Amino acid sequence: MEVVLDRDAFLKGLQMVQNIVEPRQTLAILANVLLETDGETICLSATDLEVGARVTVPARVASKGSITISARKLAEIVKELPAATLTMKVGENAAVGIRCGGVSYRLVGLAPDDFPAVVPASPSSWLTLDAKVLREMLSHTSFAVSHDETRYALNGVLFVIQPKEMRVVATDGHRLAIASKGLGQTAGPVSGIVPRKAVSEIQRALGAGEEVQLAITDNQFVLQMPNFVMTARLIEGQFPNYEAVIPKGHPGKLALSRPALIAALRRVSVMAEERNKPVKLTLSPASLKLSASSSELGEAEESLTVDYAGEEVTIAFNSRYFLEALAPMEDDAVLFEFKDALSPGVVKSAEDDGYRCVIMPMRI
Amino acid sequence: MAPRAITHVDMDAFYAAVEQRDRPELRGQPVIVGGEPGGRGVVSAASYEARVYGVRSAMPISQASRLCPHGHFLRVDMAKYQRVSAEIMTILDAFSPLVEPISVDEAFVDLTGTESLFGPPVEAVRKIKARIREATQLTASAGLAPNKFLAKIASDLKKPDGLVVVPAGGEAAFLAPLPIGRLWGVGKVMAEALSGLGITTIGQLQRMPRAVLVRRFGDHGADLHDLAFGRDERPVEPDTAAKSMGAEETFESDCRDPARLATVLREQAERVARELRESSVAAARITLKLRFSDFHTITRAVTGDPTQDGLELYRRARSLLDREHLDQPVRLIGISASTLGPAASGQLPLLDPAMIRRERLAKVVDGLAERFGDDVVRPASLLRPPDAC
Repeated sequence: MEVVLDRDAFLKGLQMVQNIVEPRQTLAILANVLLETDGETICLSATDLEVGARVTVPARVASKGSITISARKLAEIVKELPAATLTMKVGENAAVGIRCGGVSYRLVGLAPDDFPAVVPASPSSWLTLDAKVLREMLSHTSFAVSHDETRYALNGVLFVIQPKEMRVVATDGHRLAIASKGLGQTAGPVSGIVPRKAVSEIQRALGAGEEVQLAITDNQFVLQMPNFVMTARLIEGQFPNYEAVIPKGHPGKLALSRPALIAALRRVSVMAEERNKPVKLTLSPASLKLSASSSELGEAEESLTVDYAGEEVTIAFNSRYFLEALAPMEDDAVLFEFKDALSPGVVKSAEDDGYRCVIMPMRI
Repeated sequence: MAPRAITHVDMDAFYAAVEQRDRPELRGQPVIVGGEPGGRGVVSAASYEARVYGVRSAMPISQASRLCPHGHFLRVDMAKYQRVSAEIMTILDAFSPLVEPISVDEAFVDLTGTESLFGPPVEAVRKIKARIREATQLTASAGLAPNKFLAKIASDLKKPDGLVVVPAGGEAAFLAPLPIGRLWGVGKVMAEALSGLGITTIGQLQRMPRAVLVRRFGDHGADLHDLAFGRDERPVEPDTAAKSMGAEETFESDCRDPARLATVLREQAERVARELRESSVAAARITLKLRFSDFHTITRAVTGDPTQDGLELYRRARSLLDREHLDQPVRLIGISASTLGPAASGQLPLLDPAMIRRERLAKVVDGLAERFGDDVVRPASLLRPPDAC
């Protein structure tokens, strides 16, 4: 195999797949990236057997072939190379020569025979989405994915594709984030839990202004863009009945300035106990008081003027949950819906009610 | 830092010695504590008379009864040993504020700086041994050394009723003649690897260049090299809060029935959960232990949100059990909870509203158990009589 390609394009391609490679692997070859020529392109593939990705980079192919090389070393090398034309040639015994500008490398490769293929399923139908929309839906939900390895079904994001609507849901058992978008096309119904790792790789890979296609089969999630395809094995297990925990018709409703609320939460939570950062919200006519205290540190409070005329109520929340829900929302105004100290509160975007986060309070 | 004076006090054949003290007819006789001779447990303690026959701690009772058929086999009476243990710990507390019990029958005591009260440390250790003997009529062996690691090795060298001193500066010379198996972290596999390098004593290990050990065994090699010279900086930590809590059970006959395994696990989870609640801690890591009929033993663990809920502990241990392929009958099953932290974060659950009810229920049940005994209220699934497997 001998190819000539542009260093910048090669680096960009490598960066789209290299994070799939786990620092520790069960099979030595999984530390490698597979390079194979395909017409006038070179394909780069990486997989950890759960999540796989393949990216296509334009190249001049002098002779066809394939090879696998340590993903980490290759990325390290290409990152340091000058922006110039790069030549890669595979010689005897899987030795790989790379030349670029005045630099040359010889790398020990591994024959590609044992490399597990990244094979996307061939789904019966694809859903086409604007990349920006998908990225936004994921940023509004992925923060709530559980890291608790005893609850597999929560270690990913639930994709629900229904005729006319798509939903993305994540929860860790304390809060639940949901993003819903209307679809211009009829699709589904189909759903699947996409593992956390795949979600962060998707977020990394999604550019601006492109269209993406996604599909969910029996056991696989597939995402494709021009020159890129990613597959992820769906998490088996039952995602909780998320609709049941979304409160409907909470009596209390409050419009708040998002930047003011974020700033106040940050200031007050400095004095909150470290582990769960609890902050109390006390609502009384025309006022929202935020307060935190810790027996070792001291206390802090701040009042915001709000449009509220109901009864006094105090609810405590993990302030981190609140801040994470507010961070991805882009509007200046947000809505907070609540009932009492023991019922979940809802934070949602004032303009786009497709984005909601349900947060369970802390006991005070 | 001036050299420290640390003693490791280890009671001799503790359970067996307590039984022999309380039952004069057993004195001079082989006594094996740890279950019925026909039963399936392991030896918890063997008197020196029984050790003559090759009986050792942790050996299956069945093997012990073959080796020593005329031995007196007694059940473990933990409540009694704990009472005696408390007496011993009280004696140790009088010699230093830094007493670290490791188990019911051994402890570290930091005697650094107690000369003006008790004389030279070796005199203090003699006094400790004498006081223990007076108060309990039992003997203890002790090691006195500049650190915990050496003190523990030393206490084991001249049992029973021994006292071995490792002087500061004499660490390497003390260790040199001992077999490498005495070092922490040197099990069977490591010992074989080392003997492949021609190393069977700690002295040979000391002469090995550190770089060679690091190249061969990585960080562990560096640790080994430190240990070979008797370097150990760990302080004696009094009142160390428990690092884990657990329960395990050896079946009367090996168990093949998954339902029975699950029931035992459920019962163990409830017990461990209660222990967690008593200490006001919650566990993030849950470990399942299985020993098969050929004694092959595995542990599997998961880490999650901290919990002290019996049902939740059970669910996690059960999911580990369900993932195992049980191609052999199970001899022992156990569960342990570790990575302990403060309980009651106050965070309410969104998806499992029944958890709040279980928390309230646990409080009530714990209260009843305290007054009327552990078995007064149990999950209905544990009410059926234990099945034979």
